[in-house]
Amino acid sequence: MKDTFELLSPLPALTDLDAAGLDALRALADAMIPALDGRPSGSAVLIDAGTLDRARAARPDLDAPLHAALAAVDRDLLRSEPALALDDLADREPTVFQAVGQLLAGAYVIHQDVRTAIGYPGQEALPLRDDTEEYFEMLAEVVERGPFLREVPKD
Amino acid sequence: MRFNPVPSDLPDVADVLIIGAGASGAVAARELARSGFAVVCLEQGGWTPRSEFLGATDLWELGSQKTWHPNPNERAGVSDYPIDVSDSDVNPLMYNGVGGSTILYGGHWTRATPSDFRVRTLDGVADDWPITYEELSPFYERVDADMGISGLADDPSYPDGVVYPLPPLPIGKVGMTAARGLHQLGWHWWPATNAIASRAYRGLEACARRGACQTGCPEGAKATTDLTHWPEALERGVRLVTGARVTRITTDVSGLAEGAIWVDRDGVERHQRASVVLVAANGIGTPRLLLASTSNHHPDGLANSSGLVGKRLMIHPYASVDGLYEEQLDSWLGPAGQAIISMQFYDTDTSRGFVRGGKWHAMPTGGPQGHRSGYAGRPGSGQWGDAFHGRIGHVGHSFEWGVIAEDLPDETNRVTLSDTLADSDGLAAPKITYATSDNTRAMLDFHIDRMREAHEAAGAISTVETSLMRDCGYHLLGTARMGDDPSDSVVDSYGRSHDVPNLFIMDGSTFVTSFGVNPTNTIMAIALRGIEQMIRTRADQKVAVHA
Repeated sequence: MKDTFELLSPLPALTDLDAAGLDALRALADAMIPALDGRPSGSAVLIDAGTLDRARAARPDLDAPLHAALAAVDRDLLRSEPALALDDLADREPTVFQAVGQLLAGAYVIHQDVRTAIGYPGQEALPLRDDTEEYFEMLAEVVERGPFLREVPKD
Repeated sequence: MRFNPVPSDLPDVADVLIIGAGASGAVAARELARSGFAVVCLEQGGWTPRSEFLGATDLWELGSQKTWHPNPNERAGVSDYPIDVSDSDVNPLMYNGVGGSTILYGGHWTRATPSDFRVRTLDGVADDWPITYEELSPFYERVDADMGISGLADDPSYPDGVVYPLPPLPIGKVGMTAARGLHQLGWHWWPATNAIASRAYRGLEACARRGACQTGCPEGAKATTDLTHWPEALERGVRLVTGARVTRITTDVSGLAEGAIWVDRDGVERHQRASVVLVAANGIGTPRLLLASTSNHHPDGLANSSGLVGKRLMIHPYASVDGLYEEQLDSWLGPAGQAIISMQFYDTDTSRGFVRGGKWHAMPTGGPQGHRSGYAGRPGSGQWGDAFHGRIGHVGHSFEWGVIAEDLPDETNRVTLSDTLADSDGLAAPKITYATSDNTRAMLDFHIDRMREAHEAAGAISTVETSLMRDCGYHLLGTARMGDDPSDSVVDSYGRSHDVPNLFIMDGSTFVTSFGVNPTNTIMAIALRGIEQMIRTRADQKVAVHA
C-alpha cells in the first residue's frame, strides 16, 4: 500500500464552452467588470488573456455554476441593460450568481496588469523588520498607566 | 492531504489511544512518548504539506475561498464530515488533519486572564473553573516555548512575568495606524502575541510576511503542531494512523473504555484496543463521538451521566469593523496574525448593560478581494460594474478591528446527532443548535460602536461593520465541561471522565467558560497539565480487561 494524496472529494471535469456560451460569457464578464480608468475589461482579462482558464482549472467546483449562469442570464437584457441583467440573474439564481462572481473576480485579479493598476504586488515575501522603536513612546504611556487587569479575590 | 498506509504492526493493546492529532492530541502524544508509553493516534485526516498552500501563488484568494476555507461544509475535503447548521446562528470552523485547526488558524495567541477563571465569583454568571490562572501559568509558559511564540513582555493587562521566547513581529502600518487611534483615545493596546516565528526556531522558519496565515502558511513559519510536536512524537515511536475515522469508543463489561472502532480509507472497519482512551477531537467532534458511543452501561452516550455531553456549546460570535484609510497601509502584508490587541473592554463593566467582554485585534485585510471574501455573513460582495473597481482599488488601504466576544454557557446551545445527515462512512453528522444570547448581542453592539470610534480616531475615511460573521466559529468550546462535581460536569480538571476513569478528554470541550480570547494556547496548556497528571498517576490508573 502506498501513500495516497487527495485534497478534495472528486470533482467534475471541466465542460467546454460553445461559441454562444463564450459570447454570453464575454458580455457577462464586461457587465460585471467593465473597463475603467485604465483597467482592462473583464473579457479582455478573462477570455483574451486567458486567466479564466487558469481559474477554472483551480476551481473546478465553480464550472457548473458558470454554465448555469450563462444558461440563466437574459442575454438580450445583458446587451441592452447590463446592470438590470445582473440584478435579474442575482434575484433568480442567487447561489449561481454568487459563485460565478467569485470565479470571475478571482480570475480578474490574478492578471499582472490588473495588479499593477491597483498597486497590489501579491502576497510577496519580505524580510521582517523590527519596528518597536517606531511605537515605543506611545507604548510607554500604556505602561505608565499601570496594571490594567481585574483584581481576583484569593480563595 | 497525504495519507500514509495503515501500519501493519500496530500494538494489539496500546497503552494510550488518542483520537485526533490536532493541537491537544499532539501535546498528549509527545508527552506520553517522552515517558515511554506505547501510543496509537487515530486521525481521520492526513498530512498537509506546506507545498500545497497557495499563499505564495497568484491563485491564493481564489483557492482560499474553497480549498482552504475554514468551514468544512464549504471546503468539503476528503477528511471532513458534514455539520448540520440549520439551527445555528454561526458556522463551526475547523480543519481535520494532522495539526488540526492550527493548520488554518491565524496564530492569535492571547492568554486568558486571572478573572476569566472566576466569573461566578466576580460577575455572578456561569461557573468558576476548578483551576486558576496561577495553576495554569507554568503550562502556558511551556507551551509558548514549544510553539515559538513571538511577543513583547510586560503587557499591563496580564500579571507580571509573562515573557515570550521570540521577539515581537512587526506591527506594520496597520498596527501603527490602529495604535495611534487607541493612543488618541487613551485606551489600552499592546503589540500582539502570535504563534508565528519572528526568527527561525526549532524547525519553524522565520515569518516571510506573506499574510496568508489563515489559509495555511507556505513558509512553515506559523506554529502548527504537525511541525512543532509531531516530528518528535513520531521519532519517539508514537504510531499515528492517518485516514482513520473513529466511529465509536468501545467499553468492557464494567463500562471502562477498552478501545475504538475505526474505518480506514478503504472502508475497512477495524478495532484498536487500549488501556486508556483519550479523545481530542474538538468541541464538535468529541461530543459527537461520545454521543455515538452508547452501550448498556452508557445508554445516553459515553461519559454522559451528567447529561452535559454536547451541551453548553460556546463558539465566540465575532463582529468586526473594517476601516478604510486614505493612506496606503500595505495591508496585504502579514502576519495575519494580529498586529496589535486591545484589552480596554475585556472585563465586566455593568454600566454597559452586559457582563463580560472581549479582546480586540487589529488585522490586515489581505488582497484585493479581502481576507474574508469567501466567508458567509460579509456585506456587499455583490457589487459589480464600476463598484467592483472601487472595491479592489482599495487594496491595502484598510484593516479590521475584530472582537472575540465571550459568550456564556447555555445548555440550549448544543451539539446533538443529526437524524438526517451522515458522513461518508455513515456516522451521524453533528447538529449544531446555537443562538446568540441577549447578553452577547448587547456586547457585540457595544464593541462595534467602540471599534468604529477607534477607526475614526485613527483617521479612517469610512467604516464597514459586520455585526455577526456567520463563518466565525473557530472556537468550539464547553461541550464536555470540567468540574469537581460529577453531577454537573463531564471530566475533572485533568480531563479524566467522572464516569469512565480510563477515558480522558483534552480539547476545547472541557472549557467551563469561553473567555474573550482565542483558546488554542489554553487548550494546549490544559492538555499538558492533564497529561502530566495522567503520567504521574499511572500506577493507580484503572484499565479495561482485554480478553
